[in-house]
Amino acid sequence: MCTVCGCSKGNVKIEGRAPGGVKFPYRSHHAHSHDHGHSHDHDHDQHHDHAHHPHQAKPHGAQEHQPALSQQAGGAALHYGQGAAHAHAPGLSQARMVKIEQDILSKNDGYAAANRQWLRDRGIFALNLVSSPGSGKTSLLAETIRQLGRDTLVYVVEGDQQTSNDAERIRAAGAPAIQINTGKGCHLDAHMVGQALEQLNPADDSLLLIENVGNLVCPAAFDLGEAHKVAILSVTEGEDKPLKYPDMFAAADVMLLTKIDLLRHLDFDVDVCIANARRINPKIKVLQLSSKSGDGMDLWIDWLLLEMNEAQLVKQREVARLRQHIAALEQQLQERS
Amino acid sequence: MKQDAIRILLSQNKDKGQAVSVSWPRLEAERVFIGQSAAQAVHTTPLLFALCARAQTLAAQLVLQQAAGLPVSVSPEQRSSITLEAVRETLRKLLLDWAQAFDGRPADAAWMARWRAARDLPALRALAEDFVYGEDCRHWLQRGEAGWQAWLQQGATAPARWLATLQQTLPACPLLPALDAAALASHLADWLRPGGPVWQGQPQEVGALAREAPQLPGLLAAGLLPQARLLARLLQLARWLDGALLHSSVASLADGALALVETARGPLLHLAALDASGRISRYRVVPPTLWHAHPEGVLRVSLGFLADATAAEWQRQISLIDPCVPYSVSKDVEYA
Repeated sequence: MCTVCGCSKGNVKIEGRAPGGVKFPYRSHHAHSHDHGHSHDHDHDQHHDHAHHPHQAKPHGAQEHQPALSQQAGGAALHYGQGAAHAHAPGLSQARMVKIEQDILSKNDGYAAANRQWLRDRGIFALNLVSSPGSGKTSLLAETIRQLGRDTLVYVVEGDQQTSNDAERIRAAGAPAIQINTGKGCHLDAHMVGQALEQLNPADDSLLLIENVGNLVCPAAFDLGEAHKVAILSVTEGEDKPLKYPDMFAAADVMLLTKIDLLRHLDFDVDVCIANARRINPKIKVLQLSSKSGDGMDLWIDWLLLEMNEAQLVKQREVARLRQHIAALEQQLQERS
Repeated sequence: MKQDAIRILLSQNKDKGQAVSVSWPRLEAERVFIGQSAAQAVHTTPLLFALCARAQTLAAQLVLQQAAGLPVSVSPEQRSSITLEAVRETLRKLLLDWAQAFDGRPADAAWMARWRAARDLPALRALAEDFVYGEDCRHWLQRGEAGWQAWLQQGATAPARWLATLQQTLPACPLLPALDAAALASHLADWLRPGGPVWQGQPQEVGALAREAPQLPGLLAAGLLPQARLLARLLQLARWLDGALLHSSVASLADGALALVETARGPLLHLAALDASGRISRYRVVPPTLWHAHPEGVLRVSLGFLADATAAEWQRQISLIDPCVPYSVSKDVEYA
């Protein structure tokens, strides 16, 4: 994941916020004291260990991970994903990469839990939409907003490396949207989404669609606080995508197979694709649709409305439980007085 | 009602690399106020928020009066009332939680009986002078940093002995500066983030250490954060026992109002807006624990450096940071 591409660094911009006002969260900025008698803040661009305690001292520059060499049909293959970190970066040991990954993800998980509770308290049903670039996410969102109609409140968080083109398309479709430009970053994280929620201020009982950066690798690891990850795969891509990007299809609860109106022009085997996805994740729910022709959109819309209703009920039950609790306490007070 | 617990997860990989994740999925119980009248909400507040109930009720009264455009003033009696609550709460922490964390058991039943009976400031002061300071509070306050070090080295009381054992250095969070509601009004969005409040883009340590830091420059420079944290609580307690009162303030917003009330653990924020009929259309509470449990806040910063410590040491350090809700610690040792 991002211990490889280093995409956790800098350049995040959220609409409505001055770039300088957004502190990127995953740089270690702990203050600590040294034996020279004062404390100061560090704000590094790189994650690294400090030997604060003797037991934490580790040799840096530990031996680099060597790829496994395997023989495959048609030639040899180098496999860089077989160490503890399941990845490789020059100059980083596997243990070091795992440590960095743990540090990043542990912070992210704290933010994600807060986002999830925030959404739950408001009865908001949130989806994290992930795909390769060009799978048709934005077109699907625009059509979804149109079909849900004015009676359904939909909000969109748009993640992209650059430009606010997608947010503008979504606004044109009638939904409030906020753009997060991740700069060099290849995924959204829970801290960015929390800041976007504060700006977007979605209404209670609404639908929140988070369009992640087009990438089937890094977004798999980052919980944003959503109810479900939805992996979008277009039939123009190839039915082996679930096998090539197993982390993403394992993390997703739903797979949307899009652009099915093009199937007659393509040599794409839908059954093989679905079987591949279920080899990775037997429980994945699969919907086939085309936002252009409208085929399958009704099932997608029905599923969204049912899940929204469930999120609203969860909030209503919680409020009812609180009211019951207050009434019981009032009763106790009356009995005592 | 079952309280939401702070979740602390220690991930440890096979190479002993460690990371700590902290989250507090707090239920925003105050959302039941939406649609209610101000009187109903003020009545309900101490039922929903039983800890620091007086501070919570005062915050609700102040914010709803301000939001309604009514004149707002805080009487000396109201300030005395929230200060007395903070004194009792700090002494309860000393006798129960900190005694448990340091001595492995709560203070003797006779101390607890005195605490239960002590309802006014003179009785609480007498209890504190016997159990905590071993001398007159004012005299103790005037000792200064070197004097407090001499006092804890003497170890005449249990808290002095506890302090003497706190010699470890830990990394610090920035300390929240003193703020009032007016200063906060223009930075309010930072306090209301779903991920937890920040000030100037950073999570902060709030409460006694933030308030008393100017009295403890030596300990802070040396990085002796745990000792500074507990000493700051004792300083704060002595100040209140000697007559100092906690502050509260209100400010208007473009839509609604906010009230900031100081408590033993830090600033308590209430935010409210009313609709045209005077019913509550928006209500948020930001308790000090949201600062403590921030995903990059003081709990994570401290515990991240204690990953190899014993369970008792974790309990001690969490207890000194003093989140006001239960917490659970779990370990994920097979990570990666």
